Amino acid sequence: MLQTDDGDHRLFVLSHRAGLEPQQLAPLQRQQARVRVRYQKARNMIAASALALERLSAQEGPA
Amino acid sequence: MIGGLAISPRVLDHGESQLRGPMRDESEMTAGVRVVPGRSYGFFTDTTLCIGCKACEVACKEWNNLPADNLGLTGNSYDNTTALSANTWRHVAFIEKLEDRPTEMQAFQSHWLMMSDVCKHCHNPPCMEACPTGALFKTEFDTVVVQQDICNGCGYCVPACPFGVVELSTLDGKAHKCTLCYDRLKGGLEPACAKACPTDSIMFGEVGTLHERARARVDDLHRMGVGSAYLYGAPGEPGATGGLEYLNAFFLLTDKPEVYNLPEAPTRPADRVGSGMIGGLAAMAGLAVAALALFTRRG
Repeated sequence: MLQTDDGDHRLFVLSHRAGLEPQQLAPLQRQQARVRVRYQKARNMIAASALALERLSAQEGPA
Repeated sequence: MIGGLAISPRVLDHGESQLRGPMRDESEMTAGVRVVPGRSYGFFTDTTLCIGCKACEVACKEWNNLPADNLGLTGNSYDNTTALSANTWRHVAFIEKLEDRPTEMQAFQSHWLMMSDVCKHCHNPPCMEACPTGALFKTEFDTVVVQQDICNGCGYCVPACPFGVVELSTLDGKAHKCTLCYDRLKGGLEPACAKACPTDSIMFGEVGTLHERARARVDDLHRMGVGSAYLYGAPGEPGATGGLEYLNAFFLLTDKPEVYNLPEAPTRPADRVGSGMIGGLAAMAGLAVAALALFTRRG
């Protein structure tokens, strides 16, 4: 579950095509890191499939 | 003692509704059991108490961040979840008794059987036996969990499960199922579904204690005239067959297991490896003899 800059919440499922593993997400969550997600809509599901994740600096904008 | 119910004296630890942090051993207050590594924990689901509210499904999805799936109406009664899946680890089955007729029904009897289905956390889990990477393992709480970083998505666990619980996600390609809230147990919390259940149809606790409680409940129901009540998955009962010994998540049912979409006599596929191998070797020997006979006749 990620929060956008507008305060919206979005649920993502890590795609098998994404270049990272679930255990790499925990440190990002602990640090509450800002990230940019490339994703596509998942069929028949209220979630999106995350294809790539890029870490942003605190100043860098839109997440 | 409040209204005949034994209340943990620890509730007096928290007289205010404002909490400053997580409660220590919260499960002791909500489920009456302290979660201690090395002991065996599970669920006793009493289907006679289920009202089909789906609070367990929602609590599970909330806690585990599982997306809603199977959008739209199925046309299958009020059941739009349909089955356990990679994204649905609790499923409330709405079983409509269509053979009943209103004029023939007893006044107190409804048309419905409801059951909150879940991974059975088998004592001898076939999914774990089939897993070639060790992604499926038994935790210190005697529950069965898939380690997502080790699962390679081979899918061997899917047909190995006699209950059809495990599924591969179409998005990440890995196997997913109920963890009996492994993270919550580690923090001393009751699993989310059991905590959310408003009628205590889902009871969490130590497996031995749950067996005793379940047997007493069956006796009570028999005394009250519900002679069809029985346990599914407790030692020596239906569902605990084929080398499974017993299920850590077991059920009280009032109709045949098949009515609840449960197998009548589940078995471990590992028990069939020997006979399968003998069958294969016999077929190979037969083919060799046939080939020998064929070539000898031509020669």
